[in-house]
Amino acid sequence: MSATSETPVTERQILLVGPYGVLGTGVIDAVAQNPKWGITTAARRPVPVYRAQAAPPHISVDLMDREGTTKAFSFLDEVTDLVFAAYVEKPTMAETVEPNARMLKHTLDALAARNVPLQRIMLAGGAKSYGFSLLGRSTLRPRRPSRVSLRRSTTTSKKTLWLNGPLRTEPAGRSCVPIWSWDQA
Amino acid sequence: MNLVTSLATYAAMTRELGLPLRFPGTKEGWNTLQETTDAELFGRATLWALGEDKARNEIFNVSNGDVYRWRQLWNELAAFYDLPIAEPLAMSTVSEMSEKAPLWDSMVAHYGLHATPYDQIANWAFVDWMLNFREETILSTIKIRQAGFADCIDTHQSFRRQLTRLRDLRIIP
Repeated sequence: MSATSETPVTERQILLVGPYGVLGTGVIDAVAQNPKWGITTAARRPVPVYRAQAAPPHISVDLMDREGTTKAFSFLDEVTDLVFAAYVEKPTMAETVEPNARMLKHTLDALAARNVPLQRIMLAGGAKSYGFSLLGRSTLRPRRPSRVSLRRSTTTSKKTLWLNGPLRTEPAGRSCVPIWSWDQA
Repeated sequence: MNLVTSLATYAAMTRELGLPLRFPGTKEGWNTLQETTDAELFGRATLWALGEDKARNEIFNVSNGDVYRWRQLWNELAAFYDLPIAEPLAMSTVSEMSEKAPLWDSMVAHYGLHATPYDQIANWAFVDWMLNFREETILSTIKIRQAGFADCIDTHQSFRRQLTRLRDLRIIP
């Protein structure tokens, strides 16, 4: 459970999904200033023309497509850190939850299938977690975002979820294969 | 959703129309205290969180570290396009701006911009939402600062830098 069980930052490899929205762009820029981090990006859209010159390696993938995601991520055996910045918005918050949860699920399933040495996952929720998008509609109660928990099947360490919302991690089970798994509660 | 790109589009089109830069939101939206998060600061917070032991299994708020009011920040947008400011007038940019795609297309050609489709360069519903907060929306960032992430940026500087970058990338005039 100590930090020393993690791979040093200099050997870490980020998979950034949703790289060319506001948040993803910020992460790419931060990595460019901090080159000890390796990074690969993945999105449905190609790298924007105006970013092409300095763009990190990019994978074309539609995260809504389960099979396609598994295939697209099939060679990503070195990923240690997942930054999840993909986002689709639907007309209502209720409709927005499902496709976003599905994209996260497909991503995690694809990485789990490869048993990549994933150590940390970062999720960004924005102030929606506080009911920000409900401001001015005070008759509604703030929505709680869906919960995600990661379960590691060895007892040696936990993953990190860095999430602007409710979060739960579970202690490890005992079996050894696969190295990690995850649940959506 | 990129508010800065949308607002820059609004201001550039305002200039094209020969109008002063009117704040298209309510008096409350003009005056209430707000905060925001610079994308690159968020990126640095992300790298900090991935590498910092104390960040494991934790939830953090991150924001610039200061607060702003549109009635002050709006000056930055006006200065960037060298426009006079007009008093707030609550309106829907969705209804005022949505049908101006031909103007945008002509600006793309005239200024040699990247050909971003009008429905992608700006999100007017988002603008309407963001400029009309009646409540102050300040999230505490004490937790991330006490955990060791002390980075911050002046919101006015962040706004100017993003505008400049969008212009340098030829996304906006």
